Amino acid sequence: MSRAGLVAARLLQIVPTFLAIGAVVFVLARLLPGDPVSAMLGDRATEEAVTRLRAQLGLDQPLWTQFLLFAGRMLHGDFGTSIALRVPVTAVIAERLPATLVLTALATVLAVGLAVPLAFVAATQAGRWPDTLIRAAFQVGLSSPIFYVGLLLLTVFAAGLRWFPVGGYGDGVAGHLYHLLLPALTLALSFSAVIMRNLRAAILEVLQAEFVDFARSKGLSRRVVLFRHVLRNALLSTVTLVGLQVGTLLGGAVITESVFAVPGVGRLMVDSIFARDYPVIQALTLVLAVIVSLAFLVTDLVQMWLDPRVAR
Amino acid sequence: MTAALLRVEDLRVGFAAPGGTVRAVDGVSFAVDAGEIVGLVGESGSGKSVTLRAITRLLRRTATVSGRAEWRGRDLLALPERALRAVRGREIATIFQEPMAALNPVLTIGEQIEESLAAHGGLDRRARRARAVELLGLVGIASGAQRLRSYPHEFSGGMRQRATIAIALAAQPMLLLADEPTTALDVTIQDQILKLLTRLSAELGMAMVLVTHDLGVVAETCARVCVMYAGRVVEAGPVGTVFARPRHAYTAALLRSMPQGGAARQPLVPIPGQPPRLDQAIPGCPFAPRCGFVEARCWTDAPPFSQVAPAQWAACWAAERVGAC
Repeated sequence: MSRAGLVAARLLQIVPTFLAIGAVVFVLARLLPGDPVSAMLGDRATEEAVTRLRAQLGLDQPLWTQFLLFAGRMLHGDFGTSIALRVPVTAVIAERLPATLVLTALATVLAVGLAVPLAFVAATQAGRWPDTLIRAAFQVGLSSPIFYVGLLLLTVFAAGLRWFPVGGYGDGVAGHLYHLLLPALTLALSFSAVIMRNLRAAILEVLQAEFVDFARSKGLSRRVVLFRHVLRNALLSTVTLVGLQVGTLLGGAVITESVFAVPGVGRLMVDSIFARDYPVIQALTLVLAVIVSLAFLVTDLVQMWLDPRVAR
Repeated sequence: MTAALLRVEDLRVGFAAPGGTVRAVDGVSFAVDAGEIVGLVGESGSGKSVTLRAITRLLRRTATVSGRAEWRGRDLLALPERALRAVRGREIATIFQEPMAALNPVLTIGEQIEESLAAHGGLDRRARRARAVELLGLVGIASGAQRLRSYPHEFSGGMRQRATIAIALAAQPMLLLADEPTTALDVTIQDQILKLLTRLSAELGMAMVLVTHDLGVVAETCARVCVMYAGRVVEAGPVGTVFARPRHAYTAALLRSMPQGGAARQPLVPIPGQPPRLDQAIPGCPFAPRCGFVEARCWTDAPPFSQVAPAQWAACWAAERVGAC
């Protein structure tokens, strides 16, 4: 199958995934105890007010009618109106999504940028002091909870040294990056530890391969042997790992956005769950699912590009 | 005798192991003349592959190597890394047993040939490509221009070994170290690859050290043979002489354990027992426990490697009796 055909097939696979997630998320949202009306009106609302609001929101309809309505609109790209915020869900998400995407992307770049060179040093110096030092440092990174790392960075670099803002999202590209650097670093630390460990092990394994000896026997320089022959083969498994971790990273963004007051979808999700804002919960879950699916697709493409044995 | 191209002297390789140092190679000496094919033959674990890899220092950091590997007046074992790299590939090339493992799976055959050419300089991109096609033709791979874009997994086993030979020949080495180059291949392909190697050696005037456990391969291709046992060379000489009249009990036993192509239906005689453990010092001859000619001093004194015939050396106390059989 050609590469273009493979990409098309993978994109088509996202459609059923999308529908299945839609159904699951519709049911799950309604399985949450409580409902948006009691969340909005409180305990002391009159019976009459509750009935009126339920009718207004369409919550008095049978569940399957609600689902068909939801599914029908969803296919047209209409996710309804937020119950809590009273604005179209698409508008809310469009406003909040960029911050989370930038945060996640920046965290990935930082994690990879931190992990790859250090894994390389650790593996080529395996068993010596640089290896021990790097592994110990990452062990600390891996075992520290995200919220704790976040608070620590916030206390030292924002509140203490005042190098970075305490929270918010800033204006313009530079402002966004400046505001998101600390939260991204928070997210990146444990992620990069996972990448570092995986890549270090992969490099050590590839170093044992006979093609490395053959490459050396050709008289290639150490640099060419390590980068061209070792690193490229070792990255194969790491690329998969990074792709699979995108979902985890989005989950981590929920905590990080709360700590750093970043107006992203992570916080939106938490707020919506508390408000039982069904339309927002549903739409947001779908959007995140699509992002994860796309991340898997990109992973597969990179994998194909790196490894000719895939796809042909 | 002319000055040898490669002269290995008292080569020793040890690997640290939990029970003590494993002496994988224990005082090996041999020489290779220009254009000559020398066989290094022995059972698995006799140290023949380790010997080969020690010459151009391809062994891991865990190996401790001593002795000399004199190459055109310089000791390869003492050469600085940079100077050694100029020898590797350019003057001494190596091919391995399992071509699929020796080729990098994510690079095309062309990239793997051309990087050899690039490492030793002198050609631009276009000339490298032309030379790569030429090399594939030399090892019998047709339509090289398209084959350059293939990946190793798209080749058959025999083609892969041909490709590694093309890679090894890229910089026109004077010596090819071949580590069991046919062992992983089908019997029919084995023969093709051996014929290719002998033809290339003759055409290019390239010397070769052929490591194998197969005496048939040695008989077919080599001029001289070194028989290895327990990390030592126990017998060396011209193939015809050694095979016709072995002087070491191990060589004799090895020849009896091998089917003779055209000979009468003689029963094969397997060698009883196992090769010795190499993590403990062996006081006498390492073959003594399995030897049919064993005498008292074999257990206590290591036999010297001495000349037993005009061009034949053996390390066996019973050389006279073995030769008389």
